[in-house]
Amino acid sequence: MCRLIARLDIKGNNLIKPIQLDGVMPVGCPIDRAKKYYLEGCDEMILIDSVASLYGRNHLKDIIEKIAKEIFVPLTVGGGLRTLDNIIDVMNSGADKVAINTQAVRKPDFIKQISDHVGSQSMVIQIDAKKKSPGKWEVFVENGKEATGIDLHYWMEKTIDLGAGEILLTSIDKEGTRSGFDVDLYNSIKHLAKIPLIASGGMGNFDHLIELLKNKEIDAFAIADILHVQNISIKTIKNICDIN
Amino acid sequence: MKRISILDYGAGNIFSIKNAVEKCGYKSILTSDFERILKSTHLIFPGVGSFDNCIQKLKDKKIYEKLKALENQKIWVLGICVGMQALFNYSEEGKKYKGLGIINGEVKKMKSDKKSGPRKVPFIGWKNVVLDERKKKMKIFSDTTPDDRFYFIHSYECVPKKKDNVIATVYYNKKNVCAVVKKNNIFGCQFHPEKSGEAGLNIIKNFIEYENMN
Repeated sequence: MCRLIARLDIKGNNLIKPIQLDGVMPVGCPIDRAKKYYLEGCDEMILIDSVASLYGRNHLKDIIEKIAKEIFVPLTVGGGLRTLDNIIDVMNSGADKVAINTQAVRKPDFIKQISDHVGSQSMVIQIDAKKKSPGKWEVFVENGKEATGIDLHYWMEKTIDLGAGEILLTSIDKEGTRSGFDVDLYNSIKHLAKIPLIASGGMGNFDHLIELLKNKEIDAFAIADILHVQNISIKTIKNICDIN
Repeated sequence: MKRISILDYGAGNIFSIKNAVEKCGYKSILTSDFERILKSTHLIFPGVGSFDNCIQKLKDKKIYEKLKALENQKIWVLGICVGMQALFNYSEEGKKYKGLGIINGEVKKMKSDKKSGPRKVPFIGWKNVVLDERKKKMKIFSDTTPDDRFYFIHSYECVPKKKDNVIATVYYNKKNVCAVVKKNNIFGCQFHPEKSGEAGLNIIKNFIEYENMN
C-alpha cells in the first residue's frame, strides 16, 4: 500500500541532486529520468524547482508539460509557488498537486486558499525540518536555507487545520546523505499524522527503507539519490523491500 | 471517427485526461458547450475537489440542468472521481447542492477506521479492483488483469441503490466499495484512470472503443 515516489529536484534544464538541500550537481535530464521511472513502476512523482525564486520559470513549465505527456501517474510540483496564479499555471501545465513550503509559512492562509480553489487533495504541504534538540525539529524555508523558529509539531497541526491534504516531510539533516531516513522524526509525529504522510530524505540502501516502513503511519516515501545517482531500479526496490 | 469531448468546467486536471486520451491514440476537445457535447461520440467528465465546488462550477457554466439529460443520449459518458459522484442523487459532502441524479443512489463519507475502513481519509493509494463475475467480459475491462492496480484518492464512496449498477469494487479491510459503475450509456469510475499507469490507459482506451452511437 505504501507509495514509492520519485523525487526530482530541478535547476534550469537539469535534474540535480543536492546534499542536505544544498548544491546543484547535475545528474541527468529530468524528462528522460521521469520517463524511465514511470516505466519502472513508480507510483507518483514529485518535481521540485529548487531555485525557482532566483530564476525564470519558463523552463519549469516546459519540463512539466513534457513530463505530463509521458507519465501517467500523479505529478506534484513545488518550488517557488507564491500566488494562486502560479498554482493555476503549473496545474494547467499538467501537475495534479502542488507542494507549498515557504509561502505557506509566510502566509498560512495560502494553504486554505489553495485547498478551497483546487481541492485539499491537490494541496501538499512541504515541510523541511532540521533537528534542534532531542524530540524537537525546526521548520526551514527557502529550500532549507532559512530558519523560521517554528516548531515542526505545531506547524503540522496548523497546516492540517488549514486544509492541507498531504504532508511531504523532508529531514534536512538526512537529505542526500545516504545515512538512512530520520526514523525518530517520523516516529515523533505518529499521533499527528491524520492525513497521508510522505517521508523524504536519506535513503542509501534497502535496509533504510525497511527500517522506515516499520512506522505504519508512513503512507509514502520519496527517494532521489538512490535512483538518480546509485541508479538502482524502482522494480528492484519494490521487490526487495516488499512494496506491492 | 471518434469525437471525444472532455468537459471543461474549471474542475480537475483536464490536461492529464487530454494527455491520456492522446497517448491512447485519439484527439479530444475541451468544451463546456452542451450543443458541442451532444455532437460528440464520447464525453469524459472529470472532477476533483469537493462535491459542492464541482456542482457550483457546473451551475456557473450553465450546464448543470443540461447534463441531467445525458442518460439515454447517443453518447458514451465516463465520470471520473467527483465526476462520477456528481452522477448520483446526492452526497453527504454536498451541503448546498444535489447531484445530477442520473444514477440512483447516494455518496457517503468513508469512515477512517483502522479495522473496517481505510486507515486515513482521504484515502490515497494504489489498489486492485475486483470485477463483477457477470460483468467482467464487458469491453471496458478488456485486457484488465487481476494484478492491475489503480490510483484512488477520495474521502467519499458511491452507494448505488441498484447493486446491478456496480461493475467493479475495491476492497478496504472487509468492505467492498464501489469502484466502477455503469448505467446504460453512462460509466463512472472512482479511481483516476488517467493517473493509473498502463492499466488506467487501458480503461480509457476501452471506453473510447465503445462503438459510436451517433
